[in-house]
Amino acid sequence: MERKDTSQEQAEDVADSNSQRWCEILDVTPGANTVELKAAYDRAIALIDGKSVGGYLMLDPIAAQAARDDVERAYQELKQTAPVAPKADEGDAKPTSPTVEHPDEMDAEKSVPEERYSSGVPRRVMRILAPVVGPKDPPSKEPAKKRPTIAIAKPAAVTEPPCAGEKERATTSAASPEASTDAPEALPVPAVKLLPSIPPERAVGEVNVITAPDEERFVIRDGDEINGGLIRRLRESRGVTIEDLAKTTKVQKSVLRAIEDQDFDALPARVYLRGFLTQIARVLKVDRKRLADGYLDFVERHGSRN
Amino acid sequence: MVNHTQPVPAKAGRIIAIGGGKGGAGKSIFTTNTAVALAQSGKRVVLVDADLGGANVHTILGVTPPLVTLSDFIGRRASLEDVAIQTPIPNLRFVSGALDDVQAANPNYQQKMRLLRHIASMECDVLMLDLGAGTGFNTVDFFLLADAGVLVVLPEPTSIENAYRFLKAAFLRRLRAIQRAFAIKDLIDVAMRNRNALGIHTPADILRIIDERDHELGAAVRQQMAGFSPQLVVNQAIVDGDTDDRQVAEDMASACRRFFGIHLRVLGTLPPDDAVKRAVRARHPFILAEPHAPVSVALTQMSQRLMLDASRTERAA
Repeated sequence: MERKDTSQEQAEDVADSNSQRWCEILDVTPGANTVELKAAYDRAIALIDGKSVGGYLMLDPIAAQAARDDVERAYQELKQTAPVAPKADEGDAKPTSPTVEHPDEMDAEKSVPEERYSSGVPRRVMRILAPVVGPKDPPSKEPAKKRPTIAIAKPAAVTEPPCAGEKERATTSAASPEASTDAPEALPVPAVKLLPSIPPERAVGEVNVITAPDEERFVIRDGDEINGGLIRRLRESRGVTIEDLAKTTKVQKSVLRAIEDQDFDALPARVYLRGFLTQIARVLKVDRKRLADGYLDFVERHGSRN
Repeated sequence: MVNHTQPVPAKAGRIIAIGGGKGGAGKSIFTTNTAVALAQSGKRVVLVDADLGGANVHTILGVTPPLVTLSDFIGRRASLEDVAIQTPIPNLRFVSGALDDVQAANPNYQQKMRLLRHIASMECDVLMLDLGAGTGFNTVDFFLLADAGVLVVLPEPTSIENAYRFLKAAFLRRLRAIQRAFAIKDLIDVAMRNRNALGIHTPADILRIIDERDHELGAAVRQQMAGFSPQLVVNQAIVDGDTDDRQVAEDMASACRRFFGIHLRVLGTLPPDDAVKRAVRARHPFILAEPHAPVSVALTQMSQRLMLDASRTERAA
């Protein structure tokens, strides 16, 4: 992808996040030496090939090939900068995989331009997605503000979610049985951008919420019953509208309203509700556990139907 | 019932569902004995045989099949408290799933939600839900709606194959359950329909597609999905000479993390032990009959880890 206009600093960040990703794929700690890398590589290949019973039929053949590519790539990348292990240990590295030294994939690898990896997404993603993306996808010209390492090129319409599901959402509880597959075919295929996966804390945590000065803010006090009304007051005292909250948490307004209205029938199942409450607490900058536990407790006491 | 002197239980982290793939892996035996171990440690436990249509926890427990069962609750003929019978083991109550009612063996989603709601409000510290084999909606839904899920597998290809299938099914089902809240139903539908073109082969690939559409949305969904963190028990794990089936557990967890994007955690392994066979034949829990057998020792330790984890998970959520 054309990411040449990123600054030097951003490039280093990307390199770091790549390296982290490779470590995750090989399941090694950063700075692992060559012998450790080799052992991790052999374990990974054995898992993917199902030679270790623990990996048996986990991946279909295409996914297995993709995973193999990732592991090969991770091994090659990390090997370049890995410290050499002390001589005495070297006998430990026994080749257990037939694809160890010069697998075919590695030859194909050489023709791939280096910058294709700059997003931290392994080759397989790019290769598989290639027919969908097409070369016309413009690179993001806007420098990303909040997360400098990631260029977000959103389709213009994307902040508002697709609205086909809007009507049924109003009538049904959020926790649904297996969905029907009757959505219109004409839906846009997801506009594909290649982005490294980043930890959720980083992405969701930072939101711009217009907040009132601290002393005016409504807070949870000991003994407060944590119910929908309290969450509404917390939100309103921070100058956050339902729309703002939906935008920052990505949770639909109907669900947020159901929480505030204590519309028990419309609430999602407890295990999911906890996640939504946590997201709300994060945006409103209140104690997450307290809000989630308190509200779930409230639902349990008042919401149990028949 | 028996012991009301203990403080009111922490509300959450207490419904533990045991499921996963293949029959015969030892789910019911594991669940029953864990329930007994927890009851012995002073927890007030309700053991629910939710293997609707294939229930036999009563046999492992050594009690006569109760006259009132889950089907009476599902059919609204009895409350859950009514069908929870006291067992001879202090602190342990038991809800039988032994059903002769086809309708009740296939509850719809609302009925399952109702059952779960009522289970959640029962007066006890821990609820153990023994689920049936397979990846049907009954199993998967209970597994997902519980506070914690435990997969029991044997270190054999057939069992492991089914465990992965179960994990994939559960992951997708959980994603489907939150699709409305995040308005991603259409996105998932399109993605699943075009999964070959889009390269969707693992759960991680689906999250990637959402990420690519909208990164912040992807992060929010990812965060919600991170709550899916089942635990793994490898049963009849041999540790002898070159064979170390504990590695199978570690391998599965590692593979799930790396290639599936599912945070599977190892709860532990249980050794093969003839005490289990003897106890099943005699129709009593091995942990009572042979508390010092290797399998009993391992299971007792595991049940303590399970409780620790429940409180930890709850705090981290």
